Amino acid sequence: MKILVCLKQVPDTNARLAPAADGLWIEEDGVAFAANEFDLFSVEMALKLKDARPDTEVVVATIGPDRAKQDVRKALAMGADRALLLSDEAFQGGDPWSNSAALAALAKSEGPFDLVFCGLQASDDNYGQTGPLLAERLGLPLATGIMSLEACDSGDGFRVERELEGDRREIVDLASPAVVTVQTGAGDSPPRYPNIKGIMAAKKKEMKSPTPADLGVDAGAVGSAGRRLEVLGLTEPVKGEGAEMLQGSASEIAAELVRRIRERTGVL
Amino acid sequence: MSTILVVADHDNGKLREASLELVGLARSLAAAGGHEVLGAVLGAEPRPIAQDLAERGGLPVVAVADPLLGDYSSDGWTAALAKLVEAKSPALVLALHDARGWDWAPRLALRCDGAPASEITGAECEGEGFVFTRKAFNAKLDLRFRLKGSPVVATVQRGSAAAATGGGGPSVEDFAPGLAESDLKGRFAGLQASEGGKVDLTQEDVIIAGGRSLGGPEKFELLEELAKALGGQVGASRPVTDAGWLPAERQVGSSGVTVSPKLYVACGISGAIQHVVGMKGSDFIVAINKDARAPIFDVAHVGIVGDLFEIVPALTEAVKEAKG
Repeated sequence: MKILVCLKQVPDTNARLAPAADGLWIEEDGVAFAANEFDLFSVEMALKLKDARPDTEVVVATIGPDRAKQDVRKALAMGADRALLLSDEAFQGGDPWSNSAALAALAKSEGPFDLVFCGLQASDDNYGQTGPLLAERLGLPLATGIMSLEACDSGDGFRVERELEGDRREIVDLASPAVVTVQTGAGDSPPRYPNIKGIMAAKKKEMKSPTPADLGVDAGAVGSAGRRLEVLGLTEPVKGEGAEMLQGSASEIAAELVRRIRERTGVL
Repeated sequence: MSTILVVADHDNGKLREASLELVGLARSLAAAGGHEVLGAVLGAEPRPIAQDLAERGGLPVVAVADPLLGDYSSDGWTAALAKLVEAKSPALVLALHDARGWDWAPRLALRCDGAPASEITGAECEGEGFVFTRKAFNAKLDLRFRLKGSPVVATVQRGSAAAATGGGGPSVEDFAPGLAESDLKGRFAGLQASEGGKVDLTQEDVIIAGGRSLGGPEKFELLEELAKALGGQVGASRPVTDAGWLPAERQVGSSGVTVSPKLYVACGISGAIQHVVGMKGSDFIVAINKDARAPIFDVAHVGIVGDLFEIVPALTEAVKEAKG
């Protein structure tokens, strides 16, 4: 089996973020970046398939600048076989529309893949569109927000569980090849940590950086040139009335809270 | 005049109430931009639900009927709606941002050479087109954007508009997309109910919820003590249940349960929109967080910037004292 895992580097979820001076993106200076958590669950799910069938090849694909190398290396250290980092300038500044065009070209040129993983969403822009758009561009069936996946014994499909609202799950049978997007918390165990052996091995693994021409895609269809979404402004949230802030020592605050709870809720 | 198409959703043979919020949003756009609003309900026999939507929302509704739409599938919904978009040429398609909406909406946008908008919280008319607002970076920032391509297929965050009531002119029109078995490469194979079921947070008057910043499952004992003193239950944000610190049935938010207790205390929860939509209807919200800029303070009624490991035990003591 041949598997493609799409992975994105995003600002660390604990990072304090502010709009950049142009008001169109965040100020990146001083912000730590890390692999999107959803994508690490994808990597783990792909590696579980490889654990069961060692002849499986797991290929990691990332769109991003050079700094994304560290997280691509992490996926290789976890156990992926090789990686493609679309770091060419033409691929940068994309939206899900143009990024899915780049990934579709990559999937065709490096494939065919039996299974393509994306995260349900990335924790930067939270669009959750790249996986569905990629499925549509490749003409493949799709399941979003999956919590589990098993390959059918016959080898011609996958059975997945999708998470629905209220702790329910929907079981979906997908013909192979297919595209899935993975929810956090998926699988039987959290994403594995790279061990020393994995980290050493990752240094020797292949990491290519193809250009649009290498992938056979028009540079105007990818990156910022291929966007359909135009950002008009990225701003700090407009504060509504917001919370009334209480101050004082812990015991003063506790006493005030008891008074408010009594006054407002009737539960005391 | 162009059309705004509202794709209503249903569960267990009943219209999902949030669908009426989509009608509300569509109607405010229609008034501003001179559009007309059209509803759509998909299913094997969608007519009764289409009728319900038409009457309660006061709008014309298309019942998109096909035997292959009896169970939800991404392929089936995308194919059927592509046919409907071809027939009705809407400028905007609205759907709920949930496990169905985000599964088919981007695909429909691509198939119709339109453009996808995800998890919007607002929209306004601008010339012939629309400008949208949404949260980004886990609700730390607000994003305004527009799209090239038509139709725009947008998924809408719950609570973004008031539910429409009435309006007049209800009618139901049948539409047969004529799907083929070969259209469905991914198929519904069953539903699995919750494995939990011991706790139903939707029935609680008091919820004390904790986030990842508590640091570990053992730290939730502090919250349990407060919950016990107030006669409530402990809830959690998604990272907590993902980490296995608490069972999934305790998760409040868009992928968990939606609650509206009399009292909701958010401890160490930053306030990502996925959590906020599940609790913002609570009568009285108290937020405790060490980050003064945490978005949870925008929805809370009372906020405390401080160390929850000091404040929560102090509150537990004060509550016990107050109860005598």
